[in-house]
Amino acid sequence: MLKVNDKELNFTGSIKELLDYLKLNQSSCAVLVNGEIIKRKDWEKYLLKNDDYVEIVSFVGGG
Amino acid sequence: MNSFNLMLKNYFDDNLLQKLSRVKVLIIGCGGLGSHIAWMLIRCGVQNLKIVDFDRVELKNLNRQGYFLAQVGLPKVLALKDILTQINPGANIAITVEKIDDKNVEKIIMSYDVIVEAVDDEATKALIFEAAMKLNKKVVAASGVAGFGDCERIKIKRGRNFVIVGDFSTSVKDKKPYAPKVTAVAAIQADEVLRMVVEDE
Repeated sequence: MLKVNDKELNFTGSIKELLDYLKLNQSSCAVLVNGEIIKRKDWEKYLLKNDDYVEIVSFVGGG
Repeated sequence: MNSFNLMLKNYFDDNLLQKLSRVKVLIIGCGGLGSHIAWMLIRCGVQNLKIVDFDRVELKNLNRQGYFLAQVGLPKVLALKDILTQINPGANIAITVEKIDDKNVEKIIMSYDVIVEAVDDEATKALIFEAAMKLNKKVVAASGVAGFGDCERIKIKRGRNFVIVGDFSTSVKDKKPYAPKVTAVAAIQADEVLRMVVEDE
């Protein structure tokens, strides 16, 4: 079980696969795992573990 | 010490003034957010500020951005520096005309303590956030500033070394940006910079 933005989620796979599963626009996302930022070039190879706390920050345009 | 910096002694103790004079703040993007965040931070005693933007002031910006008709056509960083210097002539304001991408982002961020993300494009926001976090900087970002009449939806999301301000949903693709809400988010971002500077030991 993962925690993704404070909600529990039964998921195994990489960060990339998680973002695909959640159907998020990946170019506007940043991802923290257990408080550490994971750069997008590592999303494909970074495998999420049980109890990982994943925080997905999804930006919308305007500034 | 100039009269502006002397005046600040009415508002902050020496310890805090010293922190404010030492911190190096970088604002990326000088539009509706950055143009307002900059003057607020200068008024609060930030002495070392770098502003980055690749754009020029356009008439269509003036519904919300902190520029004047006579400045239309000028690079935003030049127009903004002129305004900031009129507020505190003693502040050290550096400018760069550059568009941020994945090749230059780390180099631009490297030598600053607090990074204020104030750009328009969502992918660039994510890029700046990611790079600044990776370099262990303090990051103050914004997400969701468009529309009006719903400022109660503005949230402050704080984490270790970062804060994101906005309603997190209303993009400029959905609604147009207006002065009140954009400036409200800008004001909260500036306030969060102050908090981070105070808390930094």
